[in-house]
Amino acid sequence: MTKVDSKKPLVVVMKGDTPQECLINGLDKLGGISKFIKKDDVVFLKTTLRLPFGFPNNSNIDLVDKIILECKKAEVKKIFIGAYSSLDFSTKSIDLILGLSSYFENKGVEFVNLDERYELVSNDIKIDENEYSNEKIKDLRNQIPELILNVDKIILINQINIHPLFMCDLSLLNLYSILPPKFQKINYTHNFKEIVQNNQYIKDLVLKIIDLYSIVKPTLVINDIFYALEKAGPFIYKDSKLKKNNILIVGNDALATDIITLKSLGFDIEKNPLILECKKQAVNPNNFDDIKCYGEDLDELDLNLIPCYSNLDQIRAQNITIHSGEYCSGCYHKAYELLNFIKTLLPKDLKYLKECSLLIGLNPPEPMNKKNILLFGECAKIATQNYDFHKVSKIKGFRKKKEIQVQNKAIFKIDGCPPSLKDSFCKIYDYFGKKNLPELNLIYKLLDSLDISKYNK
Amino acid sequence: MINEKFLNNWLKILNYNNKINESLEIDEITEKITIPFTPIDVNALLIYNFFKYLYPEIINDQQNVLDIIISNDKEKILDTILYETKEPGVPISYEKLNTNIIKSRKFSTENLEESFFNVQKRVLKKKELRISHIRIFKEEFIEILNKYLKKSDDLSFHEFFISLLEIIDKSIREKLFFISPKPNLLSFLEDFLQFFNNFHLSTIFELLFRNISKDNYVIIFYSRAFSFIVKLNIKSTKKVKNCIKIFNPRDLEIEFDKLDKHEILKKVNMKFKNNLIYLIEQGQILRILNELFEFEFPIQKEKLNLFLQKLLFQFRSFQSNWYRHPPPKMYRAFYRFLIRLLGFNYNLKKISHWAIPELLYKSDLIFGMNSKIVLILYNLNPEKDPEKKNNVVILLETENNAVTNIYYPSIDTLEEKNTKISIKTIRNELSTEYGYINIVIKIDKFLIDLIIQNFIFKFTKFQLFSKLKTIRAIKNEKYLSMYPEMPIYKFIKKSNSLKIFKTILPILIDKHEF
Ligand code: SF4
Repeated sequence: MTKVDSKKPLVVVMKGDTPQECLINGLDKLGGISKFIKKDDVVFLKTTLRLPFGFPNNSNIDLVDKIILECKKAEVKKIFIGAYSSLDFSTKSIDLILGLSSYFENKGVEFVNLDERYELVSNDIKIDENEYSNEKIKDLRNQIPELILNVDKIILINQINIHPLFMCDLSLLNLYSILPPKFQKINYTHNFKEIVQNNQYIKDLVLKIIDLYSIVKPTLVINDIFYALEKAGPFIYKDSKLKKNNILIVGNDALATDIITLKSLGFDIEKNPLILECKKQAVNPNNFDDIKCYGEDLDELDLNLIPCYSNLDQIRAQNITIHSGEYCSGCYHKAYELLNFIKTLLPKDLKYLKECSLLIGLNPPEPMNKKNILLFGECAKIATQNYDFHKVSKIKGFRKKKEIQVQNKAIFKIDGCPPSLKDSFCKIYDYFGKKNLPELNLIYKLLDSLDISKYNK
Repeated sequence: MINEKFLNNWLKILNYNNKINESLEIDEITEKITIPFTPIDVNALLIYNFFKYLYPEIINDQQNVLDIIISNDKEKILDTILYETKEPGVPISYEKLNTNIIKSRKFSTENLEESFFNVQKRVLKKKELRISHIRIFKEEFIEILNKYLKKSDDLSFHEFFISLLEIIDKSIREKLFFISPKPNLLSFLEDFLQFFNNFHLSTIFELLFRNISKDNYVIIFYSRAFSFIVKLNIKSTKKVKNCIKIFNPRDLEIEFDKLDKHEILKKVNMKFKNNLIYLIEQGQILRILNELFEFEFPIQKEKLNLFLQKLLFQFRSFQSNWYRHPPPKMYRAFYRFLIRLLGFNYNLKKISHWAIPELLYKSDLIFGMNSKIVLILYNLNPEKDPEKKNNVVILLETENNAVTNIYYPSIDTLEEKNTKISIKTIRNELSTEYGYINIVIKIDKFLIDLIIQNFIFKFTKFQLFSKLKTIRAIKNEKYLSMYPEMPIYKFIKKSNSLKIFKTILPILIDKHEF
C-alpha cells in the first residue's frame, strides 16, 4: 500500500487483466478504501446509466459489484445506487428492462428510483441560505434529489466512451446526470443567431456542469476506460467500436481524474471546453502539474481513441443528405444522436425513406431535390423561410394546361432549439408513416408495451 | 485390420475408378457399389464422380494420398497405404508400403505439418510419387468403424445418421484421425466441437430430424458437370438401404444436358410420383459450405451477419438457385394476392436477406457488447429418461461482438409452477459465480420444435394458424419466460398474435426489390 498524504489531488492509472483487478490495485495505491469511506457511512454509487440497454451504454456491473464489496469491507451503513438516464427514460423503466433493483437487492444495495424519491422530497428541501448565496447555484441545488445531497459519500463509477461534445464522457458530465433529465436540458426560445455565433449552447452547458460540481463533489472517482467505445459513441451505435485498453483510472478528485483520463486517451486537454472553462474559473486543480499521478506512465500509454465524427456528413445515413449552414453545438449534438440512432435502429426504414434532405443551422444550402425536406431546429426553420423549395410548380387545367406555384407539402419541421430526439422521431414517423417505417413502428410498439409514459411522470 | 467387406468394396471402387479413367465407356458401367461408410448402393460411376467433383472441393484438390494407421499410443506406425490418383480426388490404386518408409522419430501427430513434409519427401524418394496429403487413423478409429460397419446394413435412416455423427464426433473430440494439410472442414468441426463442448452433432441432427416432415423427398443436386439425384423416404423405421437411393440422371434415362431446370423437374417428377422434388444448384451449396468451414471461433458477429445474408439470399432465390416441383403455393402471384388482401405481405422472394441479420446488431444494443446470457432449454427429454438430462443450461459470454465462452452451469431444479421467481433466483445465484448475468431465458422444447417446424421447415407455407399458434406459445410462460423481461417479449405478451405478426412481418419481408 502506498502511503499517500498529499494536498494535491491523487490519480492512479492502473493496468490489469480485469477491471476489478485494476480497481483493487488502484485503491491500494491510493491508500485503500478506508481512506475514502468510513464505518457507518451512507454511500451513494453514481453509475453510468444512460439507456435501458447493456454495457458499455451503462457501467460495467461487475466493476460496480467490486466497489460494493469494498464498501462492505469498510462496514458502511447503507449503499444506494442510481442515476438518471441520458434520454427520456425514467429510472423505473430502466430498472424494469434491466432488472437492476432485484439484482442489487440481492447484494444488500438499494437501487434508487430517483424519479419517485425526487418527487417525494422536492418540496421539503431546506436550503442553508448562507451556504448558497448565488441564486443560480441555489436553484441548481434545489433540482438535485435530496437523497444525493444527504448521503455521506458519493462514489462515481463512470463508463468512458467517446462523446461528440467533450471528446469522451468525463466524470463531471456523469455527475451532471444527478439532475433529473428535464433540468439537464438547455433550450432557447429566441436570439438564435447570437446563440450560433457565440456557440452559446456548449458554453451554458459547461457552466451548468461546473456549477453543479461546486455543489456536489464525489469522494472517489473511477473512470472506467478498460473497455471504451470509439468512432461513434457514447451509446452503442452501428459504427461504434469497442476498444479494450486494460486500464482503469481512479482518483480522489473528479476534475483531476478527468484531466488524466483525457491525457491517457490521447486527447488535447487544451481543446476540451469543460477543462478550459474550469481553468478559466480557477477550479482546482488548475494545472496538470497540480495532480499527483501514480501507476502507468502516461507518455507510454498510446491508447488514442478514435474520436466521434466531427462532421455530420461523415455519419452517412443512407438516403439522408445533410445541408448544413452555420450551427451551434446544440444542433450538432442532437443531429449527431438522431442520425446515429436512425442508422443503428432503422437500417431498413432508411432504405424506404427515399431521398431526404436534412437542413440544419443558419443559411443552409438549398437542396436540389424538393422532396422530403427536413428542417432541423429553429435556425433552419427561420433561415429558410424564403427559400425556393417552399413552392413547387404544378400543372393545372384539363384542356388549357397552366403551370402554377403551390405550397410544397413535402417539408417537415422539427421544432426546438435544439430539437429533442423524441420530437425528431415523432415528426419523422408522422411524416413518412408507419408503412414506410416498419422498424420505427415496432420500436414505438415496444415502448408502448413498456408503459414508459406511465413511469415518465 | 479394417472390416473385410468394407475393404473389398473399397478395392472395387479403386478398380472402377481406374477403369473409368483408362478404358471403360460410361455406358458399360452398371455394377452397384456401396458408398464407403454407408450401406447405400449406387452405380460405380456415381462414386467416381463424387471423388472427382466433391473430394477436391471439400478435402484436397491435389494428387495422390497416403493413409497411415498408427497405434493408440501414437508410438508405432502400423500400416501405410498409398493411393495413386490420376486426377485430383480420384484414387485408382491401393499399395501397402513398408511401414519403415516413415521414420518414427520424424513423425508425430503433434507436429503434423512437419511430419507431412518428411513423409512426402520419403515417398517421393522411394516411390517417385509426390503425395498431396496424408490421412492418419488411430487403431481405435478403425475399431470403432468396424463395429459400426458390422451393423450398418440393418440400421434405420435415423440410427444410421446418429451412429455416423457419433463416430465423427468422438473421432474429432478424441483426436482419432488427422489430415494434413488440414482441410477447412476438419478445422471447422474441431473448433465447433471444442467450442460447443457439451453439444453433440447427433443432438443437432435429432433436433432437426424430429421436426422435418416425414414426406418423400427427391433432391436433384444439379451442376453442369455432374448432377445426382437423392430419393429420401425418411420414415425412421425403415432401413437406410430402403429409404435413401441415389441415382445418376442416366439411371433414370434423363439427359440433363439437353433440358432446362423446369424440364428436368418435370421429367424427374414423372419417374417419382407423389414426391416433393427439389433442384438445388450444387455450386451454391458448396460455396455456402466453404464459407461456413472458413469460420473461426469465436465467431465474429460481422462475419456471421455476412454469412446469414448469403444464406438468406439463397432462400429468396427461388427459381434461380433452387427449384421445386410442385412449386410452393406461396410463389404463385394469385395466392400471394389473396394473402395480400388479408393484409399480409408474405412474398418469400423478397425475404429481407440484409435486414434480418442486422437484428444481430440490435442484440448488441439490448444486451450490450459484453454480456452474459443464460439459456435454459427446458423439458428436452419429457419422457424423463434418467440417462439423458431433462434441462440443459447454457451460459453464453460475449465480448466485443463475439461469443467468447460457453459454460454449462448446473442449477437446482426449476420450479415449473413458479417459473418467474425461480429464474430470478437463478439469475442472482449464477451472477455470484459468473459475474453479472444480463438475462435468463427459459425455453421449452415444445416451443423450439414449433419454431423450427413453422418458421424454418415450413417457411414456404403461409399457414397463418400454425404461425399464430407458435406466437401464442411464445406468449405462454409455460413455454417461454425470461428475467428481466425484454421489451420485445413484453410486447408479444401484451399484444394479440395477429397484431404481432403484422408488425414484425414488414421487417422480415421487403416492400420493394432493391
Ligand atoms: S436551432 Fe440549433 S443551431 Fe440554432 S441556435 Fe438553436 S441549437 Fe443552435
